[in-house]
Amino acid sequence: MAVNENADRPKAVRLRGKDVNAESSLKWPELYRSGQRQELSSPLILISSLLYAVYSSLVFFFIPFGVFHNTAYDFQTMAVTVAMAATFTANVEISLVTRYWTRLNVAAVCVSVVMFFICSRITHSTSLFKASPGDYFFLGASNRAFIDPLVWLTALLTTWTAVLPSMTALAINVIFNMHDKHKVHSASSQPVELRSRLRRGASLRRSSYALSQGAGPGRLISSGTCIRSTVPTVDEQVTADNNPTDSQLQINMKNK
Amino acid sequence: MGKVKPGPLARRPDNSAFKQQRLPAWSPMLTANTVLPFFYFMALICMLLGVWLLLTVQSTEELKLDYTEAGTCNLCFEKRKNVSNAAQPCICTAVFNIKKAFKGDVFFYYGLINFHQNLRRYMDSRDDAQMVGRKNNLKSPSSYCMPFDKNKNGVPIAPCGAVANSIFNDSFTLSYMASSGSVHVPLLRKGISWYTDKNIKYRNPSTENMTLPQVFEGTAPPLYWQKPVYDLDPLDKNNNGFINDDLIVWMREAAFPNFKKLYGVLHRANKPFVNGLPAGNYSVEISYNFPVQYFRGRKEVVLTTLTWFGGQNHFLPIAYLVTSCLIQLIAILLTVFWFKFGKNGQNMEE
Repeated sequence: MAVNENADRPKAVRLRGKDVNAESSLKWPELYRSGQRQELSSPLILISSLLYAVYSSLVFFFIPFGVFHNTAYDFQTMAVTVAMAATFTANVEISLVTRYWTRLNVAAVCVSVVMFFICSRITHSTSLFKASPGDYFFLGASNRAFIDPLVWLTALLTTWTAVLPSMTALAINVIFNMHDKHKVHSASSQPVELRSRLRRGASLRRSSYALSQGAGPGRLISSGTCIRSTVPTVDEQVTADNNPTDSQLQINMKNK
Repeated sequence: MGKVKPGPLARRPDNSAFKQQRLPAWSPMLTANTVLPFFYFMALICMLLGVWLLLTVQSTEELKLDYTEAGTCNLCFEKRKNVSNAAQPCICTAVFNIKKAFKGDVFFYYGLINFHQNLRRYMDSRDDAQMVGRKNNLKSPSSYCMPFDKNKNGVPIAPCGAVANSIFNDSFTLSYMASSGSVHVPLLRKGISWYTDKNIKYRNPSTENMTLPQVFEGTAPPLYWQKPVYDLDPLDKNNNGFINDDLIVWMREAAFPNFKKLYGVLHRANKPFVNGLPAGNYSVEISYNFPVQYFRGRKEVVLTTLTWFGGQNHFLPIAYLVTSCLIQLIAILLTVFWFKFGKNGQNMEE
């Protein structure tokens, strides 16, 4: 589950962010630098996602194992504990990535957690058991598990331990970089001048527009585009210098 | 869908707050000043929880007695190595000493080491429809129970499956060696199973005018059982059939290979057990039936008092304390980083 979520990181970041209008995009080109450098689908990110998935799987098993080993608790109670921990972890991970908390975001997180408890109660209920005893045999497990303090304490500890690497990464990010994103969305639109030397022929450096119109992250990974360096090789640099195609563009954006 | 507007701007998205991303939103201001105190706070919470849980666990008393080969049970252990002796009973005695009195309710568990009740194929080998009392499943158990669904004469087995077949069939009688002699320790053996299990999940097939043995006519007991299912408890008629408490407790599979299951609770009506178990010497007389050497397992008897947090479970308090130390370490490292790099960076920008 963790690998799936982290593999589609660009989409994950897009869904939780907010669009930036045209004037602000011109003013702050660093916003789309990560797309140009293909930072979000680099091998480092993929490997770290995989390692994080392995770590969280180990945490989800070994902490309940340590708690329920050599006790009178049964398999179904342990299953409910691990499910609770997994749900809480997923929601906390989403909350860490969300930057703009609209009412919809808050509702989504709350509904997710509440639906977990409701669906557990439904699938562990008497009526479903009586309809099909072979399938819904978790009867009574959530009745006792959801009011057992040991189950809750274990689930919370497991969640907190599984989320710790993400929180640490976020904290390191906050400490080392001062984010100016608040300025991005609150700045008033002003006339902006764009100056650029469009160099044709440097095909490895793709603009974010080209990236968005092209193949998705899966295709990028399987074709190895992201593994190749984005720095143009010596040949390409020489070619670019020999064919200077300078077009200086001036765009005046008027106030709307 | 809205009305279709003609012209070049026909497919423009609606000018609603949701579609134009103008919804009111709160954006958390994450700075070092908010993040670092959060880590210290979480470390403090984990430490407080760990300490509190540790103190709670220290107030429980527990006694474990491994009786696989203890005392005279050695002879029974040798006897059970031979499968042909399975029908013969074997009684043995093990003694132990309680140093500090167990105050409050005392729970008597039997424990097994290295018995994997959580094996996938073992857990599938049961028929819940049969044990909820459906008549057609009684005589034709589900195929998941194979090879424990019919005996060698082709008679269907009730209850079918490997889980029921391997039921723990040792029984215990606890005695206290008081100065006046040996006093039998009364154990309450009712109410040891879950309410939903006893009343909904496990039901005998409807009897109408028949007695319980007549209802189970045409079925055979599981291969390893000494008594048929309708005669599991000769003392209490209502504890026979699929609703037998010991059967229900066994059928609730444990999570891990080392587990314990409730056998009884101390009956505290009469002296000298009104306040719990007094300190002193005890002996437990065991009817030794369950063979453990085939899976290199051990059997034990566990006597424990409980708190709101359960029995003596040191893992969780220690895990909380370890986590709090780890978070504390991370918080200190982050503070060091902040002093060295973050703060300087701020000053340089200004």
